[in-house]
Amino acid sequence: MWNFLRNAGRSYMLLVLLFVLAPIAASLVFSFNADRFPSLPLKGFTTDWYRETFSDPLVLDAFVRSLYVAVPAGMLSTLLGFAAAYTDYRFSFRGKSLFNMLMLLPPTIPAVIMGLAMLSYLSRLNLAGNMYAVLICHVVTGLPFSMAIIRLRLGQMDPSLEPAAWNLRARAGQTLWHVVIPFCRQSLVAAFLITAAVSFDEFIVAWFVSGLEETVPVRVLVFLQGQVSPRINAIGTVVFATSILLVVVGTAFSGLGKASRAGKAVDSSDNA
Amino acid sequence: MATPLLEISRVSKRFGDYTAVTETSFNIERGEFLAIMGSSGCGKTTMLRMLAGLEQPSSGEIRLDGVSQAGLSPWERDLPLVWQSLALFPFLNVVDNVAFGLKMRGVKKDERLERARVWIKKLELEEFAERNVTQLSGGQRQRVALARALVNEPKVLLLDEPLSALDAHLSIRMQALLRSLQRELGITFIYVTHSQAEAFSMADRVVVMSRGKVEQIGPPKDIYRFPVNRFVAEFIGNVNIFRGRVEADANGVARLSTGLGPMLASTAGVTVQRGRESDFYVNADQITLGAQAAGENEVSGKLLGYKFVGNMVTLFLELPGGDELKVNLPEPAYDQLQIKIGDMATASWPASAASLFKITE
Repeated sequence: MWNFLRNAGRSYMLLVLLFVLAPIAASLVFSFNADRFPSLPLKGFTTDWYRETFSDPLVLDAFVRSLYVAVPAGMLSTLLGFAAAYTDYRFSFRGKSLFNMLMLLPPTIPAVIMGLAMLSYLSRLNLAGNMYAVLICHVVTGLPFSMAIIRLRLGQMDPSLEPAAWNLRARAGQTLWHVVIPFCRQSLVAAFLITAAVSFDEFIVAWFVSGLEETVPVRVLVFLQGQVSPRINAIGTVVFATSILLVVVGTAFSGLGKASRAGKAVDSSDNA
Repeated sequence: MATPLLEISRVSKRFGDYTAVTETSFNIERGEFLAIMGSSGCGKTTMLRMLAGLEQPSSGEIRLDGVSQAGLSPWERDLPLVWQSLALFPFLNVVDNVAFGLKMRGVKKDERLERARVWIKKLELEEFAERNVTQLSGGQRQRVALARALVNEPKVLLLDEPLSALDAHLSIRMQALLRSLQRELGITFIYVTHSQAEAFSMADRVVVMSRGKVEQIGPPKDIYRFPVNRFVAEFIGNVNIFRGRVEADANGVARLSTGLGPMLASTAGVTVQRGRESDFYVNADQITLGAQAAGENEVSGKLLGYKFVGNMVTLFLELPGGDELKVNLPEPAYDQLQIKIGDMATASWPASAASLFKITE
């Protein structure tokens, strides 16, 4: 009985994975297919679509623009996320739960509403329709992720670690620099990589606010509106690979899998 | 005489409605090993945190070398603390952990590494110097924590139950190390613990605290032999406590009437009030057992059980009326008795083994 349930569970999970991954796999396969149209049987291997994609100045511009946004967006999200996470960790103040709720709110807002709101707000500040607008929106989107990752790490810190530094004559600022940040180093790297990935493949909000300065996902949509080109598959595969790489490396850095607690001794032979 | 090294005068600490430490005063002398002992929640850790500046007293004052510490931040004091959790920096190796305090003081790199090495050598950590602290054993990490505090050459070292995570064997070795370090360096150790064994085996003086107050201060032997009140007696646990009415007192001995008959107890240092119900204690080490036992006080009871602690045996007798009597005997004396559980035995003790409490509530 248990065996049956376990197997049924596994099969179900496989099906879900298949359902999620099939379109991506199809995109990957057809990006190397010689036929213009995505149909079976496959006609033979080619890298033409990649070559064509990367010789299109519009696509290249979009890629460069995406990177120009993703890197600073990742850095700003990480910096602000650290500040928010540390505020939550160290201080108690009135309205703290409200503060945390506001910090973690953005992912729960439908992207279309977020995009519209951002557009109308930023256009009043004369900031809409350029890369800075996209950058601002992506920092807002990425911040909850970086805050969550860094807060998790701070939760693993021995509560005596900071007081121990104060006790050894480190002022509050020195403690932050010499103790808290080194303790969180890996999760900071992870937060940067993951928020950069979030920015790199975020589409909806960017579509609202980017104007003529398109990021890669926005460029893709423009492509799709005009024609069905196998180049879409090539771009999709590159974007997917980039994002997945960032997330995988980021997750490895954050140590999310193996929440290693600080200061726990690996007991070796004891010759005290 | 010079001022004491640390003066704690009328210090209280309140957290909201909860009072952790109440109007506490005592002095700590230069070069002494002082243990602050009590069960959890007695205020001993709060006291230590106030010394380190991690908490500010709600009222009262702490003076170090005659200088008030009021309002000083933890980083403005020279009272390094060895933490219960050790709180070593997991991302640094042994040398950098030890040198951390010097770095924060702005000591140049060469000098601080050299000074760190001296302490690493002194605490026999040389072969681990470059290792990350997470790769060390409990005892090794303990010594890193000590080195990290001592490298700053403080006048006072604070220790917060540093041995509680170690097994019994290692704990005893660390106690010997701490004691010899303290003697050698001549600095003051303030050692907070819930363990009577640790406090009594290392300290010159012990402060017994409960519910935010000091119950008794004195050398371990005095506290063991002459607990001033019922709380200390129960905490130390090697005495029997009885209650009786004082019928007469003369020549430092009171006669009390109790449910078990008349008993004699010493009244040294106690103001006796005739006719008053008073608690008194009988030292479990000074009771003899046997059919022919003879002393100034005598009770009989049934043996309920016994336990061995080292080469001492603690026997528990059930007295008429349901009270229990605790008797400590050396093992050979116990063997000679040939007493079995359920047997009746007579316990007796001289008046000098019993005493009225100095402080009654």
